[in-house]
Amino acid sequence: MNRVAIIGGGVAGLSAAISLERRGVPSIIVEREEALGGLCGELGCKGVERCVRCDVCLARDMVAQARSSPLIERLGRAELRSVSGQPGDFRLAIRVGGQGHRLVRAAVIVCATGGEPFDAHLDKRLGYDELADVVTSLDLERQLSAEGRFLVPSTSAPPKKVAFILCVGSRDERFNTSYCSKACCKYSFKLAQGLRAIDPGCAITIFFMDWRLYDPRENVRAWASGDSGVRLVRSRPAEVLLGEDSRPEVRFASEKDAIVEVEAFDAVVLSVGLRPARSAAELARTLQVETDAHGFLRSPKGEPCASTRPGVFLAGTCRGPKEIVECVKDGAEAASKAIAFMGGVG
Amino acid sequence: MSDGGIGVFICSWGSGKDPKLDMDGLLSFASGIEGVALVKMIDRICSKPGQKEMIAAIKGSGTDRFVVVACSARTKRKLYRHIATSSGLHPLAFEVASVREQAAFVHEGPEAQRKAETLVRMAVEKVRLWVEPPFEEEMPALRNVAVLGDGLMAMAVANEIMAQGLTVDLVMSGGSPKGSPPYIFSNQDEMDRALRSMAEASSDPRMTTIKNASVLDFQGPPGDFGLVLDVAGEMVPLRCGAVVLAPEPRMELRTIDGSPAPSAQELIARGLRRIVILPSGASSGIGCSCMTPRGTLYALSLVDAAPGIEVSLMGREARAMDWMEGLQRLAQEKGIRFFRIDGEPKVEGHAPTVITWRDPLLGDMRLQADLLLLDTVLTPEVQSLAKAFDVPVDEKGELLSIDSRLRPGETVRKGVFAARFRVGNMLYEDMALEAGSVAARALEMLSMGTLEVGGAVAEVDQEKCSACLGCLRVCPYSAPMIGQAGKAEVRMELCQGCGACVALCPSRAIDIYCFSDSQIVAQSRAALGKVR
Ligand SMILES: Cc1cc2nc3c(=O)[nH]c(=O)nc-3n(C[C@H](O)[C@H](O)[C@H](O)COP(=O)(O)OP(=O)(O)OC[C@H]3O[C@@H](n4cnc5c(N)ncnc54)[C@H](O)[C@@H]3O)c2cc1C
Ligand code: SF4
Ligand code: SF4
Ligand code: SF4
Ligand code: SF4
Repeated sequence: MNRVAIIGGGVAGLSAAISLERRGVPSIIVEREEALGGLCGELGCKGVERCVRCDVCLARDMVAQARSSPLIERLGRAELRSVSGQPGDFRLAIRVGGQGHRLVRAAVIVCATGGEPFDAHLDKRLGYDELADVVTSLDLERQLSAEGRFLVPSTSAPPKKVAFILCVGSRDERFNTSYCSKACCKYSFKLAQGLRAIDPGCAITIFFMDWRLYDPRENVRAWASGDSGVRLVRSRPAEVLLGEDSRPEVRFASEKDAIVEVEAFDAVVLSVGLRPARSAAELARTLQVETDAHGFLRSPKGEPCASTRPGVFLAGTCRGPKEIVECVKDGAEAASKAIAFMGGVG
Repeated sequence: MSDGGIGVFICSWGSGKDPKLDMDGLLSFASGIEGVALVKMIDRICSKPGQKEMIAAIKGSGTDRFVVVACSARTKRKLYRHIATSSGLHPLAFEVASVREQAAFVHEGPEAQRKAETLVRMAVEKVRLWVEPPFEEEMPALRNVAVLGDGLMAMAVANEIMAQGLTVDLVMSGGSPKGSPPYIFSNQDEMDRALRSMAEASSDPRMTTIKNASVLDFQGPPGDFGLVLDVAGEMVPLRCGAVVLAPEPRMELRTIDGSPAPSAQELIARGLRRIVILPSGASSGIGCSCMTPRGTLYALSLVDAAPGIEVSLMGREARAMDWMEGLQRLAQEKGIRFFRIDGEPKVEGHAPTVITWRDPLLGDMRLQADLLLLDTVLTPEVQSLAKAFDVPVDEKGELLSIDSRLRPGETVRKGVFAARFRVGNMLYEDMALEAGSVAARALEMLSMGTLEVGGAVAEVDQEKCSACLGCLRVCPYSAPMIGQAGKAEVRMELCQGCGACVALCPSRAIDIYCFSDSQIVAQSRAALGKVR
């Protein structure tokens, strides 16, 4: 018995499965949804004229790879119910949609159940509840992915002036999210590039706190200074209200003077961060692992992808916010730790 | 040339579901192509029953090569190879018409269908001229990895590899492991454990440490590399299956004249009260222009130990991942000042140093410092390693991965992996993940014990070769050599099929299997509608 059970078929779980496969270790992916891909399945390619390195297609490639591998078994519409046995010989009770229960035996468990985008309804000041033309980045992604374009919800017309507000639901103690979500600077930059490429007449303003792009080669300032249609404003807006012409208006502290500025946009995009999945606490109990102060599953300090229980490893955004590439690394690392736990291979 | 005829297999994906392509139409189109002996619609080639059906059809028909009309080979190549070998064919005896990505996804209506037909015809014409390449699926690979680096990163990589039962040769440029690691630890315990595991690794019997070494030569195929090291003046050979480059950056706070940042006691003793920390990257471009956690941590250590001290951090962005975010707040509460500077500040005088810059909101700003510290990043090992292994370096001075997006950890050189660091802020955890995932790549390559060689490799037509030595010079992998006959020969275990020699050869003596000139010409003619 050297099989690995992977809970969650997002990019982190897929990376673990593929890494195991390359080393000849069989795995089974237990995925709650019908399709593999996780959150990435809802995201769109942001490269309109040329690739902008958003990495979303990486997840698609990995789904295809996992589906054609004889060493990777997949269980769709399947949810982990309970775990018995011990490290080295776990028994997982899985409920499979429409088919009742199934017992899966595995030596090691890799948990890759992901996090959740921040629910923008919670930050009342930003108008997501009341204003039709305030959307989240996820709404924008879904539309881009399904239709290849973005229209202003209230008018169904292409926008001419769009604002992005970064750090929504991140770096914010009101929501116990005093951490940086790591992915939203990156995807906002790429989404903005995508919108500019779709319509060069669409002006873009990005309200940011700090630029935190993980790849040191990405240079958002060079891009903005070379494109007159783009404006970067270092300010965290206080409110989004309904303006006189029924467009959303952003109120923010001016960068230039000690005053509050008000500016109307056709659409306002809230770049939501990542938070722990609502089911994380229950999952932690099922797996007998601990969570951290924010509610993510906890890796002990300095031991990436380990959990607090031997034989159970963590990968991806279930253990903290991450962008796609880091999830891929996590998958490889979790796979490696899983193999080491089983005594190494070869 | 095909004797048994060509098989064409069309994946039923999308029939019904996807209105863009008429798969039945493609089927009858393919049956009309000369030399096509068998055409079959398969209900999802990805599915197990689909694969069985295809294998049975190939076995029963006597075709000796085939075309898959389905999803791209980028992700499915392994599967198609598996089908080929299970049907008793050469594992590379097929071509793929990616009608999904290249027709259905990008065109509409009749245009999509026309493009799909062209793709099918191109694939058939190409596979028709396919010639069996030299191919070895099970070349034994050495099961040790050479890890190059002096610091914690190299040790972390080594540890991960040894934990999986492979052995490590640690090649250090200096005489002892580097003392102060540049990473940011979340607490003393984490640091102690890291240093302990470093000590444990050095005494692990699976590790051989080679000190004071530099690389003189690097040759051979992945799985069996040959290095020649200069170890304190002596030439020492080293064979290994894979190489991991793990140069450790030196990231520290230094004074202008390069000495280390003083302790709180020292500052008090010297009467230095106003401390300003600047990022080095603000001017050099290499490194970071942000306020990094290193500065914040140092500032906190000062204000806690010497309440009279005033510390200011300057930089463009505040960098603080994970648990560092809270620390930044704490620092602000303790009176540490953070100044945003977008451009380059002007620095004049000495004790006190006067720093002036323009703040967009507050106007002209001026700060006096008794001591100016630079948050510096140095990467002394990177350049020499890059040169020794011929791996390019990017504009930030990091070893370039093959494509940081697709295969983190791999470099342009197969079998040579590189651990990268982020200059902005490297928490110890970030480093441990980087080291672990890069080690995993090397393990993925070696743990099966064998590698494959051949396939799409170059071959010299000795009749045509004029022994000009052009290919020997241009090949980045040193694959061609002059053989006994005085003509060029390509060592297939070294060739990566890059095509550089083909383009250069003045006698047009070189061809690449699976991508021969005649195949490409036939394929292009088919694309232009010129059918034989
Ligand atoms: C709007 C938005 C845009 C983004 N854009 C980018 C981008 O352009 N580039 C980038 O690098 N990153 C981007 N990100 C971040 C990126 O999406 C995530 O880092 C990544 O998708 C996380 O992958 P994961 O595998 O950790 O989790 P997920 O993708 O969330 O996968 C987890 C999987 O586990 C399954 N699951 C959960 N619980 C159970 C259970 N109990 N039993 C069985 N299965 C379960 C879920 O159904 C899901 O399929 C974006 C994020 C957001 C919110
Ligand atoms: S923009 Fe993103 S999804 Fe599109 S090709 Fe590039 S990396 Fe892939
Ligand atoms: S990645 Fe950027 S937008 Fe997201 S929380 Fe961090 S600083 Fe804010
Ligand atoms: S470049 Fe061509 S002619 Fe010159 S040595 Fe190589 S194969 Fe021979
Ligand atoms: S194809 Fe590339 S790797 Fe092979 S011999 Fe020619 S130049 Fe060298």
